[in-house]
Amino acid sequence: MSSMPEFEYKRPETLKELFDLLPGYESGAAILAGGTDLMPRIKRGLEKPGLVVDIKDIEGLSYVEDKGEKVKIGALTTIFDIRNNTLIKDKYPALHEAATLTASENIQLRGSIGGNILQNTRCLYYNKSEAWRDSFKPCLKNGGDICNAAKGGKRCFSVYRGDLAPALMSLGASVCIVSENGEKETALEDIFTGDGVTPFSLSRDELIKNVIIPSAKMKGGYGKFRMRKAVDYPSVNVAISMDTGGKGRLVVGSVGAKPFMYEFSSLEELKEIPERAYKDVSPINNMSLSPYYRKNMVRVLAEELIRRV
Amino acid sequence: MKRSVLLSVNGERREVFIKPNSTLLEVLRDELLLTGAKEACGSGECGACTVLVDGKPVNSCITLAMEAEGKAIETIEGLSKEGKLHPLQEAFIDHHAFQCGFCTPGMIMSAKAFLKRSPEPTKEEIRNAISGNICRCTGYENAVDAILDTAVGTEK
Ligand SMILES: Cc1cc2nc3c(=O)[nH]c(=O)nc-3n(C[C@H](O)[C@H](O)[C@H](O)COP(=O)(O)OP(=O)(O)OC[C@H]3O[C@@H](n4cnc5c(N)ncnc54)[C@H](O)[C@@H]3O)c2cc1C
Ligand code: FES
Ligand code: FES
Repeated sequence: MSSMPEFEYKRPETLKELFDLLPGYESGAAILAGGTDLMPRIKRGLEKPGLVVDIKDIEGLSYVEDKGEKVKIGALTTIFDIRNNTLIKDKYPALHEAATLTASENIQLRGSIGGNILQNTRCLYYNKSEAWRDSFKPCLKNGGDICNAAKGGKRCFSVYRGDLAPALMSLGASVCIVSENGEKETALEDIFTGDGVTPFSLSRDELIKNVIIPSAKMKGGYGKFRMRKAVDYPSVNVAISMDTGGKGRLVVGSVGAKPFMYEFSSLEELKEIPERAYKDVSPINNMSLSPYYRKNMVRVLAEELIRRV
Repeated sequence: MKRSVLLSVNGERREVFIKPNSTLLEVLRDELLLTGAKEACGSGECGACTVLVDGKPVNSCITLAMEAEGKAIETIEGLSKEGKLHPLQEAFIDHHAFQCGFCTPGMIMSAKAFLKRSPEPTKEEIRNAISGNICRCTGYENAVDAILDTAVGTEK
């Protein structure tokens, strides 16, 4: 793998120091948490920040707290800690299962929930070395105006393949976003733009401080279809969470630049969703598995998960 | 711009002059000549470069050396003490848990961190713990047995 472009590195200890650093650098600053998404991107020349700001020394960003009405998870909480948290295991089975199935145990120990949510979208023609990409014209996500995966495509079809966001969306989670100007709470689904080029609406000087989940004991689960049993992104993933009254959400991931979300208020409604989702999704040829297969797997995985939960 | 960075590697303080974009793996191998940690994929996928930072396994190919400043770095070279191999190293030999050995330093470092957090593991837990360490020759069974034996202390 090629060596990295040059950048400056800073490790602030407070949010104030962080926000003093974030604006100002001409070629942009990148926030570094576990780095398991960011560093491979920088090494491949997909990201060229002038400054890398490591947030791991900022106090008070790693916790799971029961706040009565809400459960708050600090942005730096690792996937491993989420997986082993008894409160999450008990109340939010979809999130517990998603964390358990993410990447490998070592990456779970390093990767954070904030970084997992904000991992960039992926494409077979994009997440490659610079030399490999040079044999194609630059695509939309790489500063060009074509799509190498869908010939003639006028928009970017890169795929969001995060494990935690679909589970969190099924639970009705929101994120607390902080910047120099203060804090705001946004529904998780609203930070996704649906555009593969810029998948998130957050700007570079905003930080996710924590993830907020309504406090209720939910039923549910998570299904992940992947090619290898470990160290692999989902090819299709489905999360279901519902409250004791049978109301909830089913979320399908890895079929577009953002997860597809469906709400239901009864078992009958839930059972209709796999067919609807199958019709809604139109994956293209930008992953190792064929679009046809992945489209079919959406229905299969969703039906399987409904039977299980 | 290069700068002076103080690293603690296997209990020793080492000063290096590096650029902020140097990975921990580059610094260990090229500056400190600790070539136990290997580079294979260079992108976090194979675990050949696994070392411990404050006791936790990290893929040093996607970790900046500067991220490890002020923390305790442990590499495979630090395991043997006074010419005596670490029990995990003994067990890997006894169980023929490697052939080319390229994955072994990473796998042993993952195992070391794992046994610290789970001293009495099941085979399934061991498999999970080394799931980020890919071996292209031996397969995993012998390594799992070696780690299990180290845990129960019957490696000799
Ligand atoms: C081999 C391998 C396999 C993987 N498999 C999977 C998988 O199966 N499923 C999966 O979901 N992911 C997978 N990943 C991707 C990645 O490891 C995870 O998504 C991880 O959780 C990212 O977290 P991080 O802390 O390392 O993020 P980083 O790499 O540090 O950050 C990711 C992005 O988020 C931004 N960011 C991080 N934290 C914040 C914050 N608090 N506020 C604002 N911006 C922030 C960064 O600037 C960056 O753009 C894999 C990665 C590798 C290398
Ligand atoms: S070389 Fe670092 S994970 Fe493969
Ligand atoms: S022994 Fe050769 S890669 Fe594992």
